[in-house]
Amino acid sequence: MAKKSGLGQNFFAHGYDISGDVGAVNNLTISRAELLSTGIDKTAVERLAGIGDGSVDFTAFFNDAAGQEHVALKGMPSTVVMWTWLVGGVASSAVGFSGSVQQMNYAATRGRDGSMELGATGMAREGYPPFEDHVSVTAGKVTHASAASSASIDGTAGTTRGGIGLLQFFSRASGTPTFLIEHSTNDSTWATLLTFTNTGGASPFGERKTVTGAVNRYLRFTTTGTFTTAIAWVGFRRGIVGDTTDLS
Amino acid sequence: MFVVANPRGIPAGIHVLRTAAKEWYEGDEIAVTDVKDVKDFASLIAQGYVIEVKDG
Repeated sequence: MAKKSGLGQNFFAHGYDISGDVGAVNNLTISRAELLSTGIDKTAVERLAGIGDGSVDFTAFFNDAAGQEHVALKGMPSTVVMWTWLVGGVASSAVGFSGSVQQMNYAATRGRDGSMELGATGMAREGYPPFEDHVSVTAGKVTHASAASSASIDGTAGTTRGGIGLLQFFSRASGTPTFLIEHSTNDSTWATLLTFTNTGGASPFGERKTVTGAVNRYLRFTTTGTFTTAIAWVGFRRGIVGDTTDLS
Repeated sequence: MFVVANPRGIPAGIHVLRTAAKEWYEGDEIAVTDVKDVKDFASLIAQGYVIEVKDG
């Protein structure tokens, strides 16, 4: 990996690809409360990590076409939504952030020059740290004409602390696709690592699902079932030492 | 003989193991003749995807 610009990114809002409408991600913060815990026997501050939090704020150009910014954001759902920002671009194994958030606002600005911008903010709501980093298992959005597997990614080594699967389902032409992440020690024999709970239907959605235990070196995205032309993105975060939730 | 188990709780109807040539579901027997086509078979046993059932 090397230093990169912010060009060529994607932003998905709970199954809507609004990458072409989002003009700026103004802020993404992953934070922890600071708990001062300095003993009288110390000569500098001691701190403990408190409760975690996170938020993201972005500005989009007004677009009320099907599947675009206004459709994705105008509803202000009271339920959790998953937002994904592919900061490393759309290649497989590229890094990004996903968060299960509460959409907190939807704010419009019309400038004197005729410009029209809308902004939205998402904040933590599910009791676990939002905006987990991950790598893309797929090369951005991928299309499966029918049940298939996308090309695998190589994690260079297996891990033992579980992980988090992340899915953005955009659409399908017909039928009901089921979405899996498979893992392999050898890029040849595959075992099903996790199955996402939601299956593809008429409505787009995002889903976060955890898995415990061993995660083998290679990962790939697979669809099963009878369907045509399903479009989705999948990411995965391997658990590491120091995670607030140990998925070993 | 070897039988496919389901340590990850994969829903019924979804394959637990697959190679380019074949899929196996929970409870399927993996024939001895197929074992040679399944690379790293030992790790599948170690991770609980395959259980060896011994006669008797």
